[in-house]
Amino acid sequence: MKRILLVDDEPMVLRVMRRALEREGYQVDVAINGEEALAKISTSCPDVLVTDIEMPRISGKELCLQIQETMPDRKFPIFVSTSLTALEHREWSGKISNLVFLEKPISIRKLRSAIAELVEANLLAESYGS
Amino acid sequence: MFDFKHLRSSGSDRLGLVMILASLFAIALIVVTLLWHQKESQEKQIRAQGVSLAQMLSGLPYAQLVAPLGQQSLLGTIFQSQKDQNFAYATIVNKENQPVSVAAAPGITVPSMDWPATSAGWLSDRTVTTAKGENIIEFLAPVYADGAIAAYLRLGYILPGMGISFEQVPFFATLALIIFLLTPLFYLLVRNEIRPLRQANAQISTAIESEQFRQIELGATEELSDFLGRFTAFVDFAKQRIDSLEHEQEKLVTSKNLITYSKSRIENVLEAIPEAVLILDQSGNVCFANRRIGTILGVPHADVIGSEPSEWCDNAELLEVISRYSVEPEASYLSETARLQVGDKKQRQLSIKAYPLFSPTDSTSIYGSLIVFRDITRESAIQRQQGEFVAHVAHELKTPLNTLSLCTEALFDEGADDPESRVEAANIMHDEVERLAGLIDNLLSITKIETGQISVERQRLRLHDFLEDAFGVASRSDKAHDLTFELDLPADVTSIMADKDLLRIAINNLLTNAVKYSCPGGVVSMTCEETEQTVRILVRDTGIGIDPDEQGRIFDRFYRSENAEARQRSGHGLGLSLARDIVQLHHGTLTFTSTPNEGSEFVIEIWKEAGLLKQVI
Repeated sequence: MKRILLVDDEPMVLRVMRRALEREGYQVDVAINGEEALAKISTSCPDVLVTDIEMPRISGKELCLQIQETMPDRKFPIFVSTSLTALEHREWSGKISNLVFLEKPISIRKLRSAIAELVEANLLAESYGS
Repeated sequence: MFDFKHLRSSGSDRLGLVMILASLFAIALIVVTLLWHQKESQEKQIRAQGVSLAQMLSGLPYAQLVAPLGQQSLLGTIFQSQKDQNFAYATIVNKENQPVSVAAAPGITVPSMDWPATSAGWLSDRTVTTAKGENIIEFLAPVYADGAIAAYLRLGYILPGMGISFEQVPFFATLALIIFLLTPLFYLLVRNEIRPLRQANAQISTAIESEQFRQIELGATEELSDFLGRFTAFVDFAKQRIDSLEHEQEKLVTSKNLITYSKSRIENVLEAIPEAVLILDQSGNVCFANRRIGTILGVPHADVIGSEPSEWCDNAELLEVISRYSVEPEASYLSETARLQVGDKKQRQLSIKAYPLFSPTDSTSIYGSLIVFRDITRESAIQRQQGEFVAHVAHELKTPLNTLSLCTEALFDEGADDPESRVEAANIMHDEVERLAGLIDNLLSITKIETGQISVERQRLRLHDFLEDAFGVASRSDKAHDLTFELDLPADVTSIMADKDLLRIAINNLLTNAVKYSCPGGVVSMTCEETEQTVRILVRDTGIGIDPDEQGRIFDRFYRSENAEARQRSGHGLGLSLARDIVQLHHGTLTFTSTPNEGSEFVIEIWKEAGLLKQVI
């Protein structure tokens, strides 16, 4: 069972997404901000990270950059949900691999298929690599 | 114009005096010349006589020249026979330099003499001065006895002076008389000749007095008339030339005034514009700068004029930009934006535009550069703030939309089969729609206030009824179930002049926050107090409170607490900002005190009518 970590400062979003993804068979953990997410990742590395970008204290962008810095060999994909569509708001992600932007409003169906696609691709890469 | 008035006639009466002085000078000159000539001819005669007499006597034997004692000597005889009044003395001296024979004119003392040391002095002459101061010319000659020099002969003559002898007085008097008689004659002739000149002088003086040049007319000799004609023509030419120069000068003065006026007008325009303007000449020196240069570039205006940019610009980036435009003015069409640290160390963003200055007569010739600096720091900040505002609005709008989208999708997928999920989704969607509606209302109100579209329409407001009504609405809201509401309003609370609709938004936002951030079992209360000049409306809750490090930012637009408990409550960060804007529109204040986990108290303080009048005026 794949484990997904959801990070969002909106409890409503966390609640609805958690229920939808659990229904899909994922094991879902949630974090209300970036700090909590970093703590959970350091304890148990998820298979997929889905994070909002605009959050207090540690934003989604800082969370991704810190993960990239502390875990250069990270394998799990990161989905970043954002309401900012301009490319200039996404330039920071250029050096981070396996990162996909999700434009709000998020569709669970699209997220589900994207996760499946990326997870399968990673599995293929791992099997070829081994 | 040249001032001729100071020129006056020198006085023709001096002519007679000058002529008398000239005649006296002529007489004196003639007399001196005649006396000099007389003296010279007498000297020449004395020399000839002395030399011939000395030679003759030198040829006589010594014994013949020196007579025995008691007899008349030849020398004495010769002396007595001399008629020349200048003859002074004749003497024979032996080798011991002792006089052996002397014949001298009365009153003349024979001066002493050294024996000639060489043969060259044996036959010679010399000039000596006697003790009385008479100049004597003396002739020497040897005297022989038995073929050898036995003595010397000395003949002395008094050198003639420049004096006039008694016999010469009539001659000189006659000469002076003739010259004196001729003087008036010459005077009359000369005066006759200069009369036309005097007339011309008088006419010129009149012309000068009247400051009008005109033809000079007089009767004169042909040469003088010719001269005066030419002179008059020259004066006419000079007058025309002066007129022409005066006309040109007037035109130049007019042109100069026009140019000065135009320059002043252009400079005034350049001084009035809000941009800093710098004009560089061909050599790169600053030939003009307006005073805005001081505030925008942070350099004293006086230091800039007439100097090279490198002398006053200590900002390397700015200097590089200016130098580029001054060195290559043809490339100055370019404009750029630079962020500079200027003068007072304040970071400023400048828009720099440079234009080449073409010669008015030759459009291919560039004689300088015009550089315009515009401070766009504030503009950039506003643009950035606008961008941030739009981004915040997009985020705040998309957040409830996102939740709605997720709920809708959940209802499609599983809601139909699971009643519990359906109810939860419906509740969430209801909350988010309310949130969205509140956000849009607040956004519209804020936009209206910021763009000045909203006007405060004051009306007499019965505070008791108004607050009671607002409090009642809040206490009946969906989230108010587990809370206690306490309203404590004095029955006789005063009325105030306020915009009812706007003030209701502010009170509602405070009450909504009080309800939202309260915990189950909490208390939300509202009271009203009066001071001498103000009315204070207090909204209290016993909720989660505000962290001290966040208290300075709660009125910031879109700011939401980072507290986890606060985050559990939906919000958009505009309610308090809007409430403060509304209170400020009423010239009031919105303040608060808060303690985490104990609650918050927000106070709206609004002036009563009398105090409000003072505030507005």
